[in-house]
Amino acid sequence: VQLHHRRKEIEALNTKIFLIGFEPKKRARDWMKTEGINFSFLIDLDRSVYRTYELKRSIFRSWHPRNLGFYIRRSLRGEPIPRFRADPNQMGGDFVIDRNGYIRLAYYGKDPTDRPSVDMLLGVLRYTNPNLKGSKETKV
Amino acid sequence: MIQEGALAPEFSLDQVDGKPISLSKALKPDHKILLIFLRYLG
Repeated sequence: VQLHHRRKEIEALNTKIFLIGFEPKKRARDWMKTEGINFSFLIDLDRSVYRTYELKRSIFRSWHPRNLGFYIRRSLRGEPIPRFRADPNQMGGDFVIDRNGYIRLAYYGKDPTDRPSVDMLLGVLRYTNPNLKGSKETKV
Repeated sequence: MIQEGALAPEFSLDQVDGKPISLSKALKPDHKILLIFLRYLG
């Protein structure tokens, strides 16, 4: 949702956003409609791309007291508790890919609530130089 | 883990409208791509 609010800033940096989820198309369409989100949404039902990008799952990190506290606080604020129809033990991840197909940011969530901030994503997108093939010079 | 600077692995997935899209098709000379793997919807 935070990303949705700052979509224009991201797109102003010539960036196309793709969400990847693990739930059926209808569920994804309903969610996008409910949330008013219209990013490109890709369905990875068998998690093949999830595994290709070497994202991990962790029972320990998913059910760590710190994360349970996160969801309890969320509930106390009146926000809905997520209904895990997919795998509750999987970690999230974010990747920035430049126009030559090279990865400029590979962010692997350390726990289920760990995501890069939008400011961090904007920083990487802003300083990604498409002419540096395979170089790490553009890291921020 | 995939390292920054590596070539992004190719993939092909269906979009919510059923149309398939691959990374190679999505890559354009005029834009970058931000891939976000969601844990859940909600």
